[in-house]
Amino acid sequence: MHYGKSYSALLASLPPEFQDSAIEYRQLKKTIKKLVDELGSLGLNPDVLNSLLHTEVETHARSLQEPAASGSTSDPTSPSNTSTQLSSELSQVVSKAVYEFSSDESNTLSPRLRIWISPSRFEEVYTSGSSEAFVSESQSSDNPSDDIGLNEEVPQGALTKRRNSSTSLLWALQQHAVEEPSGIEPVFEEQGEAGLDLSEPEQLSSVPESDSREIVISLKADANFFALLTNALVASSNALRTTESQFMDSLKDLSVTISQHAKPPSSHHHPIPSPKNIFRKADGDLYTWREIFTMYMELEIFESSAERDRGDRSTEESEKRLGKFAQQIGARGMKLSKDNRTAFERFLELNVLILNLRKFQIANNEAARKILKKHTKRTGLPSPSSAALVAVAPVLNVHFTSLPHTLVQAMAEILLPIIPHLDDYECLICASVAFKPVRLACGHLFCVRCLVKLQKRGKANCPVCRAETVLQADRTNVDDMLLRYMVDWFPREVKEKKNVDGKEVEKEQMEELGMSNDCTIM
Amino acid sequence: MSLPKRIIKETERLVNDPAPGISAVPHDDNLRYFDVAITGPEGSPFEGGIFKLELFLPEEYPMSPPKVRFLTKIYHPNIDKLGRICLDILKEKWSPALQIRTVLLSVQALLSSPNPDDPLATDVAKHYKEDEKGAQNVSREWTRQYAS
Ligand SMILES: [Zn+2]
Ligand SMILES: [Zn+2]
Repeated sequence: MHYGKSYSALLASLPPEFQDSAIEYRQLKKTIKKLVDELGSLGLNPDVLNSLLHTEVETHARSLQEPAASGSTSDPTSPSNTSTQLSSELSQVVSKAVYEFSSDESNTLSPRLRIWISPSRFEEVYTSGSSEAFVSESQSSDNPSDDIGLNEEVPQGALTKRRNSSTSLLWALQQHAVEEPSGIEPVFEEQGEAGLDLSEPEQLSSVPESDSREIVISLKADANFFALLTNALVASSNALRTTESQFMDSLKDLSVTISQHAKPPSSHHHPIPSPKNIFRKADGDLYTWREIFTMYMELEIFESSAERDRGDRSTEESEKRLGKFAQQIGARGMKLSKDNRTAFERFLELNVLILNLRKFQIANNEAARKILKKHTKRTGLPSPSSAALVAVAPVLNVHFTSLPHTLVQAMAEILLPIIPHLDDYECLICASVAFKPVRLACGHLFCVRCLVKLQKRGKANCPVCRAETVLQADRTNVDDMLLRYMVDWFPREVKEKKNVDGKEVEKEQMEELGMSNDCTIM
Repeated sequence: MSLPKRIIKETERLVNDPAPGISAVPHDDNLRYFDVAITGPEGSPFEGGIFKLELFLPEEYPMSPPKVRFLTKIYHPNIDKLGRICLDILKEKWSPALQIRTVLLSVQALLSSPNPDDPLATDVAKHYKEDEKGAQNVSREWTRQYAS
């Protein structure tokens, strides 16, 4: 199973704006290969690098004292052997290495190796042909100039071919080296002498044994790798930012459209009747949208509020639920006018967008994680800290990781409240719309019918807070504003409630007259 | 007479989203009559037992409280031989804003914290007051014998 394949298959299912900004997994894989070659040409295979990068100071000291018995000579006639042999030799002259990133204003990560070398040991190891073999193995350079000094402008990673006998590993390393920007750190660890010395390999023998030299190697292929990666991450955050603002725009737009469709037909809503709404509109659209939103909320497509599985759903589960939602609306055979159908489709599209966004983020994060793991595994170089990546790649910021949740919230805050929900206007006692609404002195709201029942039974305490507010309530406690609002937004529920209450009152009166329902004979 | 909306809604929720350790199922032929099962709370002498109760919603409900009774024998200071429960919200503290669910949760809580100072079964309460450990052992034994 190739991850690269399933990754590109998933991307292919997403809209182009996401595809274009996704991490180019295959390209990055190729770059890792180039980096492995680049490091290999320096004799730095993963094992060597690993041991150098994890060298303790103690080991460093000991290696300086070890006699150069093994590996002091190499056989130039067996080139297949050269690389590994060089590697072991290299680990003897190179005492310690550090992998680091310098980040300039353009926010690119410049990876480099800082290596401390024991020059005298180097002398012992690289006396003859092995270094020649090494250099001839190395990749050809963009800049074949013969003698580029350390303090000259060296193109990053440019490797100079030098075929004369003085060519050495150290020389090759120097060609990779870029001088430290002044004033940050001394190039030499122990001696304060000018780093310029390094540009003259001939002088190496004069360096005392106890000294170690420091070389900084800029890794060209590695820089390409991180440029590719961070560019993709930056592109992703731009795509997400665009998606977010487009989403919010269409959400607001849609909420205006739905408000117009679902607006209550009653005149209460329009203080000054305009010719347009003199004709009473049917309440069909209001109830259609109420049903759509109720179904939508009950399905909890993206986030569950249930005890057993609270939190984000998997994208598979969300997709399933979204499909079910669309299907249910279709199955109800709802009479959606053309305008309403268009609005409903836009509503669905917004949900699909959130779903795609989550798929994209999950895939992108997974690809980044995998490629960094591969990078470390193939090269032996440790992964940069996530902090270093966040600095150049805003996509990893909290704002973007929580974007799907933000959009789900926005939907719940902007779109769904357009249609008031019955639960918020229910009488706690009869569980119907609290019509006519009576507000007690304590602030609690009940329907007039339930309140009358409480009073008839002499119950003085509010059923919710137990304050003694029930018996004082009278006609003035009816909330007229709320009454009109209920008539506007819950016309069917209000009608049903009046109906039920009417029958109940009738029955009560019959009973008071001594005639129970059972024995009424007409 | 059709069932009030309030009872329909409560039943729906009891069946679809039951509270942990509590089940309440209405009879097919009388939707005001429920078969209830409460599991004995962890750490109480009733742990491991499943207690059957009956719950009835009178015509006046929710103006009047539901009538609840243990069917399973239980050794508890606030529950008598007939299964009647001494619980204030089932009597003078009833409020029509309370529900079947809240009532059953309160009964479950009563199993966790018996109150011998407000007894219904005076002999059990006396036992609980004078020798709590011994009384709890009897409760455990009854749970094992009648509720498992
Ligand atoms: Zn009411
Ligand atoms: Zn109140």
